[in-house]
Amino acid sequence: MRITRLYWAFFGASLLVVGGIELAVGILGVSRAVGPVSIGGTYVLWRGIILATAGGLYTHAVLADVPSIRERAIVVLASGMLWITAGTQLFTAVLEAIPGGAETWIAPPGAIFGALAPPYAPALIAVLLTLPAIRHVDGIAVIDRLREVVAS
Amino acid sequence: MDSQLDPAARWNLVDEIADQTVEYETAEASVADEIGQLMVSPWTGFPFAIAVLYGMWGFFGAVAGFFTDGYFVPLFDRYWLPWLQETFPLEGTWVYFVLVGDPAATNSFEAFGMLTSGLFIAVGVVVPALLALYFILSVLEDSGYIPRLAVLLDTFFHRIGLHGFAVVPMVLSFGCNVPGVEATRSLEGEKQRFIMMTLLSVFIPCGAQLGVMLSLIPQYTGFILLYLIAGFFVFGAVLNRVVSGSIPEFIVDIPPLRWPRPRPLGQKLAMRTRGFLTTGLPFVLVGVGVMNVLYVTDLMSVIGMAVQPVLTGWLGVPADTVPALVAGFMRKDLAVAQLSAIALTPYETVMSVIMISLYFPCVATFVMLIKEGRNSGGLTRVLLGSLATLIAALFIWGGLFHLLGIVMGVA
Amino acid sequence: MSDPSQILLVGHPNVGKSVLFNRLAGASATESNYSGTTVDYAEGDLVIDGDTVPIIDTPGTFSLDPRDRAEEVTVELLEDAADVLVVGVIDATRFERGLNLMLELIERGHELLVALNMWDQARRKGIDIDVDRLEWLLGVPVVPAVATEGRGIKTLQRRIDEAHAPSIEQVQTRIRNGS
Repeated sequence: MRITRLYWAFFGASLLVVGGIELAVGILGVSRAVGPVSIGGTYVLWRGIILATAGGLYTHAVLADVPSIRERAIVVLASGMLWITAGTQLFTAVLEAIPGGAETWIAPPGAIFGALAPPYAPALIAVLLTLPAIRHVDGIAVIDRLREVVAS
Repeated sequence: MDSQLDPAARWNLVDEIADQTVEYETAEASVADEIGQLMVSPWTGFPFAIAVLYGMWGFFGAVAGFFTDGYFVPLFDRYWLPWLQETFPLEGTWVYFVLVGDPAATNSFEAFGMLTSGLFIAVGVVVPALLALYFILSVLEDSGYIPRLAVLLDTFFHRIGLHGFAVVPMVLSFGCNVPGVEATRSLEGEKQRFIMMTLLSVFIPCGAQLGVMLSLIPQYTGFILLYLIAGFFVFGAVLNRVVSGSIPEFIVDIPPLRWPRPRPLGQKLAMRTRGFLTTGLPFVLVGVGVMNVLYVTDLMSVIGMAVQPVLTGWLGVPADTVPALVAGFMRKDLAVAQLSAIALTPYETVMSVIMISLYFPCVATFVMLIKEGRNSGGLTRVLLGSLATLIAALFIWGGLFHLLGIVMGVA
Repeated sequence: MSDPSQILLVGHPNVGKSVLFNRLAGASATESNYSGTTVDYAEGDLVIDGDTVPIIDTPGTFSLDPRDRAEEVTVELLEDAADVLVVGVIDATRFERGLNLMLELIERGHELLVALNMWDQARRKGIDIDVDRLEWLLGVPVVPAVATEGRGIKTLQRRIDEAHAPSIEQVQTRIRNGS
């Protein structure tokens, strides 16, 4: 339990920082790409707010004295916020790539996959780090079944 | 007649039956239940709601853009419009003008005919928007999130005489006013429905308009949106006091969180879309036809001349904006786009955009207002009430912004 | 019993009535979680032993003393036809309040059959309902079901002609003897 707590606390704190940077970028109206990470684009302000508040929720969950079930629920809820944000961005990138401009009706598969190439927004990278939260999810039939499959 | 128990005796009986048949194992509360509670408590609920709304508009923008810009725009502009202009007989007559519109138009929006712009707006713009919005709404409903969002926001809506459930039409309206106004039918009571549909059509800019604003004037969009939402709540509070009638309390029943099932989801999506295609679409087409008759008979320029003194005197924007205003009857997003072609000071830009948002619902919303108004206190009451609100909003809320501009020395 | 003229699905809002209805009637009514959607009731056909009987999905109802439009509609539907058969739908996770409505139906002398829907969620929450005993106490068939997955629907359909209208006094007597 200690290690996972440390993990979420560290993850939450990093999200707070990254979300803060996105917020600043959104207010100042500049865009930056550092290595595989790009910060900018429409609604970057909102993504900043979501990332920062999710980070706040993670750190609150593990640092505040709340019952274990509540702690797990908050972790799942905050992860859900990141899943929504990242899912929306992936979905948008793919749908934008499919029409493929003026000459074709459907872009070649290469171009569609190309839309998924880096650089990525921070939320997309953060999603990979939220995967441990899945084991806290129960009471949702699909995921329950998924966990049974994984366990067997 | 059968013997009937009084409620207390019946509940006693229920307790006794439960005693004899039900056993509660002390099972650990599930994380899903706990999450359900987090969603309605402000500190955790609001951040999550922001993420959900972000996902909703992101999804909406992607799907609507995919269909409208990716497929319907080229389809209509490159094939349908030229074909129609080529083959439709009676060029030069009023029939041609009403049905096809401008014979030299190069895109389906500017042609202004029933079969060109009308069909394009109805099929190419509104239908994709509806599909996307109905899908999200169905997912949110079936997962049990909507009632939780309603509880979360109930306090705010109570101030303007509405219940938390009013969030459904409001959220929809930010995508497209048409399903927003339609969704007011889920609200209890004529007063509530009237207030909501009026506020929506006057104050809430649709997704297309927001998109254009974000791409053309990103630096002002936030302020404009805030000013409009403030107007929404101020005028809501006023309407709540002015409009007679009461708003019934209702019991909010919060269902457990559930994973949406594809089948019922598909059925619901199909039913709602079919509903719009059969009942909403003809209204939109007729609306465009009526607009064209206004053009043919030159009534439109008379209206334009009439509103000009108001524009320049009361609101402080140049008369050049009148054509954009007229275009706003069709699509507010393109009205905003037209504005960007006119040389305006920052103040004039912001003021004109606010004006375009306030002054009149687009034709599709307007016909939906007529359609839904009939069962929300009568057509005349709704139309006159909305019109009065609209004029008051334009003069007072728009004038107030002009005043702000003058005080700050920018107007 | 003789063939009913109509089958009515009656239950609180959000107990999965519409899904159950879709399973039984195969019609295109829709499931929804929020108040307002089912005020217009859906109608379809159910085939029992080769006979076709109309089946109606009534608006969600908390009580048979109507307090709003939706509840009025349900009460009217119940009173309209003489020999209706009622399928009472209970959310098994909220067993007591559903039972309360079932008792109201029994008091009014309706032919009743009870569907204990959302059985899976109740089990997951650790709610264990003794179905056989409940059936004996109420004197009407009780069928556990998971409408969203289609479980229990066949049984429900098969046992529809076992629906029964006990008197509330009989129920009270059995409860007294049982405890």
